[in-house]
Amino acid sequence: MTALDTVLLTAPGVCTAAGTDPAALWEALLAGKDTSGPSGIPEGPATGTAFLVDDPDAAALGVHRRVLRTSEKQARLALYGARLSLAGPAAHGPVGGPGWGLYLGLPTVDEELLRFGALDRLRRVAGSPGEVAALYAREVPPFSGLSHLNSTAAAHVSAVFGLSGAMAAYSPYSDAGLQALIDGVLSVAEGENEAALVGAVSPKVHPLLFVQYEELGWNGVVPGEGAAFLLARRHGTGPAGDAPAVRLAGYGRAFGADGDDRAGAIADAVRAALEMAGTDPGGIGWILPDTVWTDSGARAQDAALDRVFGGAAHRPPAFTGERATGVLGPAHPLAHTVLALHGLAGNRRLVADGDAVREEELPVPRVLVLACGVRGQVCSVVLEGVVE
Amino acid sequence: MNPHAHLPTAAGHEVVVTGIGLVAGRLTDPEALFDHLAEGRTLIAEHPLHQEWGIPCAVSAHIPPHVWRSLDAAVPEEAGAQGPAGVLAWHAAAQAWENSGLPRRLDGERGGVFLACNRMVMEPEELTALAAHVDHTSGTLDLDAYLASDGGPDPLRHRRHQPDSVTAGLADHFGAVGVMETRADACAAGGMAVGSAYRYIRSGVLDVAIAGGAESLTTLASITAFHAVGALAPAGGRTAAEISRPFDKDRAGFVIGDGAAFLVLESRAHAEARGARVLARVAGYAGVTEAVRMTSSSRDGSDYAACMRAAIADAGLTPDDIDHINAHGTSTQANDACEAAALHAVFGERAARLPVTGNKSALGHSLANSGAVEAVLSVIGLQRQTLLPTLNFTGADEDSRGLDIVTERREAPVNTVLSNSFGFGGENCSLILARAR
Repeated sequence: MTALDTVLLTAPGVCTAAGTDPAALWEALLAGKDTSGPSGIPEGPATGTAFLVDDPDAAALGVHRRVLRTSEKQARLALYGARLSLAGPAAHGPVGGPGWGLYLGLPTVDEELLRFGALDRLRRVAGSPGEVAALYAREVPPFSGLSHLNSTAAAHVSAVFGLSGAMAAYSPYSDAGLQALIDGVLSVAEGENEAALVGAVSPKVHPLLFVQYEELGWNGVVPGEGAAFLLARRHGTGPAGDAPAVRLAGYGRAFGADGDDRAGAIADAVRAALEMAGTDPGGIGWILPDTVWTDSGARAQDAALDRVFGGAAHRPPAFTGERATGVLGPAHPLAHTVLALHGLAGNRRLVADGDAVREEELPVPRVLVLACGVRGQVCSVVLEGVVE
Repeated sequence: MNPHAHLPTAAGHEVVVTGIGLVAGRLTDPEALFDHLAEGRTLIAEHPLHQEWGIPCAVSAHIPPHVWRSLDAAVPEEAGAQGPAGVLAWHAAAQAWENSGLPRRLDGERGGVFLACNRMVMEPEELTALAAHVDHTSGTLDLDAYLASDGGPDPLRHRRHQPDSVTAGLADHFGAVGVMETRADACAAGGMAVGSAYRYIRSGVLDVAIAGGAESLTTLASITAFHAVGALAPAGGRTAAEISRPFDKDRAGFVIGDGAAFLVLESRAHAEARGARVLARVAGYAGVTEAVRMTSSSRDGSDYAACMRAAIADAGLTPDDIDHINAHGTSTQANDACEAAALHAVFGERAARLPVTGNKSALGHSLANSGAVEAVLSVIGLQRQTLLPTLNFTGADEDSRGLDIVTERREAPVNTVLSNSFGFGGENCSLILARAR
């Protein structure tokens, strides 16, 4: 028995190109449904396709229109993901209050701040500092000082759902999503929160996202937009009929900047999570690895999984939701966590078979989820099905 | 790797501060900054470039060019390409580490790095290069041409500007890779980074952490954006040194600043085992979200008060045990009114006798760094038993009436400091720092 045993993960909410609930994502993956579409970015390296989601409007978010003025699309996606997650708990009783915390993984995208339409003017006045400043004064959106802060996403979620417990926001890559999950669970386990809403959002698909990816060694994986949320709450505090639930049975964190160090770090993080969960490679039924978007990172992750699971009598299959969601940045491992919760609830897993996907029984109720940050930060978690 | 070492325990390890470091304006060490502020001097000055831009209030607590050059030159080669915030962070972190007397590298996974830094946006020079590749009829960017052009993006730009590259670099450099957090909690991030590190040490997951913040947002984009929401103070005929005036009846907004500050935290057992000098203790922390408005907290101060009470309780103390308030004190109408109300609510009649310092009167507001630098100054205040002044406080208004705003350097017995950081959107943080024992 560890402190982690006292915390359950429930109320999965997800919003991706594959739909707005875990079952829709599962079915889209199983059916091989093509959920991608034109990125709207006509020029550039492989920028023609992306997994986009509609920008939620005020009605979908359940907020006044003015909220839209003080938020970027990422904040609105966060709010939407939170709403999807908390819909179930809210139907059974009040949510929010001093014991309800918030843990977020948030990306940064290098937005241009001035609309592209204003850049022609900028180019013409570039030699005149005063005119550049005047152009900025006219063109910079009035609330960008707030909406460009990551805290905005947290603020809107907190305000709408009345969350006023302990909180943290991490950035900017996939490890931030699992860091939010680990710390959110620990906040409940340590008694800091009664419940913690855990979530993450993707970067917004934008021309400069591709610039960022190019600089960091992008291997061409297709980006997607989305949000994934869930609720960590103390065992025994949820509504009747909320079972089965899932717990965070173990986690590991490690760092390896590149090459063999990186593969070693990923393997270390996985082994640590297994050991904390009191299991071994044979005790894992499904692996949801990160969609690593550099070739070197992907090789390191593959090598690490070979090291840990290569000797297992029945190596668990590795599967990623990328084919229906694209790569989701910080939201990617949490979307995988939501998939894991769905699989554990039905005792099923998805297995890739070439281009096809089949569903089969989950032989043991444990799923490994990985996140590999661009700089070499690694987080891994073991999720375990429990009956409350 | 021992996985169970990563599980928190209820052991409640005592957390001590063993190293501090910072960069603020032209000053690059904590003691010099404390002396500077104790003499009632400011770091806020006119910014030549901002004047050239014609910005209505062209003042900031910025890093002078000659200091930038020397700091940039001193960054170790292994740090790789660093952006402005990264340069500041490396200097402050290395200074704090050296100050702690820790070995150059830790062995193992019992160390961590907790960095606070907000996002950067593209500045005019970069946008001008981008503009050359925009089809201004359709408003679309020719990404291939931009990437391939001579004036295209700096190939290391994202390494320079993404804050997590600093986190990873420092972790690798110091061998502190047990927990690595890059916090993005707006103006509360620095305090929250320190608080998060404190929690990891207290619960036994880490022995050592280097925690702090770095920010370099005295840029056209940031200033324009904050000016647009009315957050920046207008000059109003005042000199640069007079503009930031926390809790003063004539306060009118904040002055933006650059800087970095780090603290080395250790468990007492770890520090004592190596014979380290203990500078102070981190005794309590609360980092909470709130559900009010984007630009201000509850006007009655109840949300800020709840945060302060939670931190005091976390330290096992009562409000009567607090000797000094290091206020968030941004000099905006809204923040200072809410914070003053919260101080009255938490401390009652005692608020009139409880000294309050607003360091942003002299340092400006360096957003994610502010909580970290104020924690460093609080540590020195505890060591020297000295309270720093709040500059430009000439009189209270209805909100701040009844508070003891320190206006001159004051010698006083100080055992505990409550240091507040409140972020835009309602991310609130209170730290309890205590005298070494």
